Amino acid sequence: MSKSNYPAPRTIVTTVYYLIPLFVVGTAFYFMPALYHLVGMLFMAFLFSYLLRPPVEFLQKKGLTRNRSTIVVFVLLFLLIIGILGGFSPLIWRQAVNLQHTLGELQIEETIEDGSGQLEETLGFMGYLNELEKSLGFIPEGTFQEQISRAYDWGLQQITGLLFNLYLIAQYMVVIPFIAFFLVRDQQEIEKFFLSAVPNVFFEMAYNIYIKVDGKIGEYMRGLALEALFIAILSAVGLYLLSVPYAVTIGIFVGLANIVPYIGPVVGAVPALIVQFVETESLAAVLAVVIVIAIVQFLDNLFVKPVAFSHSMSLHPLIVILVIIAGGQLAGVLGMILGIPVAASLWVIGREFSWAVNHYRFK
Amino acid sequence: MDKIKPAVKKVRAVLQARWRDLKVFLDESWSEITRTEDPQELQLVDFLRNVKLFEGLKKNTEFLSLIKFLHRRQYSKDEVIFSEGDPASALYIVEQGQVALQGDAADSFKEKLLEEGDFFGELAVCLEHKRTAEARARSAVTIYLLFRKNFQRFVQRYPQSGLQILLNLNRQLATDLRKTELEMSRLSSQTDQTKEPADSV
Repeated sequence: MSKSNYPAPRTIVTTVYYLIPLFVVGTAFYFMPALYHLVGMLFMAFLFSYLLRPPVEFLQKKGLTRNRSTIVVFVLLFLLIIGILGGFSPLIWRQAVNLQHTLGELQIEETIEDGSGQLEETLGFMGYLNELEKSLGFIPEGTFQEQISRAYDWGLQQITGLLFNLYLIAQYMVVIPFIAFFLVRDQQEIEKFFLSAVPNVFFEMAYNIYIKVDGKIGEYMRGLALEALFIAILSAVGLYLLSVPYAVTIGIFVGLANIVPYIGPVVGAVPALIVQFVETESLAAVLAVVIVIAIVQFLDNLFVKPVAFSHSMSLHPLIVILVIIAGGQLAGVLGMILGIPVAASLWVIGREFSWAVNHYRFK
Repeated sequence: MDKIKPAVKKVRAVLQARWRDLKVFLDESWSEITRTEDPQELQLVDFLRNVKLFEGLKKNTEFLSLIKFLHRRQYSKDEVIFSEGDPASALYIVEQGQVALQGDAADSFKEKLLEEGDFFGELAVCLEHKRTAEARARSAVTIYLLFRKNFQRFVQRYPQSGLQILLNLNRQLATDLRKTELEMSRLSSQTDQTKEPADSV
């Protein structure tokens, strides 16, 4: 029995010992909502660094040191962003401000007041029903139209908060590249630093698991970027052809929203629908927008997804949707975006670990 | 005209001095940004130059890039580095101490002792297989690991040097093969000799 497949008690103890810091860090993150944006930035920078590694490695292949090639890539990225902002910013800015203005000025309350007033007149018993439900505690305070307009305000707040919290966006846009720079430049050192804590017995195994997870996240991120770009361009063009106002801004938003699977495309379509309805006040035009967005999704599923995600993240759709909901509950939009890569990484770690336990002897 | 000339010369000298200062400043800030090589790494490069696997590699930059891929590990005496049957994914280079390689069936091949600058587990970078021997630290040992994946990355990044390394590896494997063949033919001739008298009786 000297060659047992299971780790000796001592090694189990050391494993637990090494899991403690992970647990402490995890708890700290969970109980400190104050660090929400910091953790978010760290994660985003970490994922972002996967997009920048290929060009850096390409330059390294051309004979530059890692440091210099990272600097070159970041300078190019900076110029690219400046170029895009310079070229598009008047357009995007004007559109974004106008869009916010339009959404804010919507005369939705009056419309609802009219409509529900009529409704209550026709259905006289609604008032009694309301009273009854209120006494039972089914519905919150306020009349029907107050509730509706409150819900509408909330939705508007969410959308505008997401789109136009410029200070936060600026903060993210400055800090994420800053962190990403060091994550890309010192990637190998960071990797070594964390892996050096692994005990000798598990080292080869741990590194192999790391390589698998690393590759998966890389594939996923590159696929995601490709998809977002494709969808943003296609929907901007499509919406422009339908002469939807703010086509470029909404196109970019649709592309970004698409990062969250299943829910993203629906959320991304909402501003387009609202704007189109306010502009034309015709259901046919709104339907046309729905069709355009559906066609973009269809093309994405047909041509981009098979190429971009050919062999990555093999998560069951049910798990994906559960993870998104859980991520949303735990950490809002960030949780929805980060949920999938985190869950898929855990999945790969679990699979590789169980394989390793059956194949290594851990002597 | 004669009065202007020295003045021009003076101005030019001053400008040149300024220019030189600026160049030095730029150079310094550039090397500040780009981090010059640290002496520990250069020491490691010197060590790697003497490893047979990297024979024929010349450029310092390539060695420095190689170092980034190496993982340093320390083992105490009698600690098992890998056991027979483990999945193999890395090549080991001994920096300090002694490592003993031992096949599981003790008489299949004699214990092989590895010392400073030797490397072992090299089959791992060629194919995905299981370890064919057990490696055990004979004394306190410092080794460097080079994983298959990183080996491939390095070869792709520097094809010229990669080819050289592969040739070195090839030479080592061919030598081992030749040795095994000789041993086998010797063993088979031995068995023939022991068999023949038995038949004749």
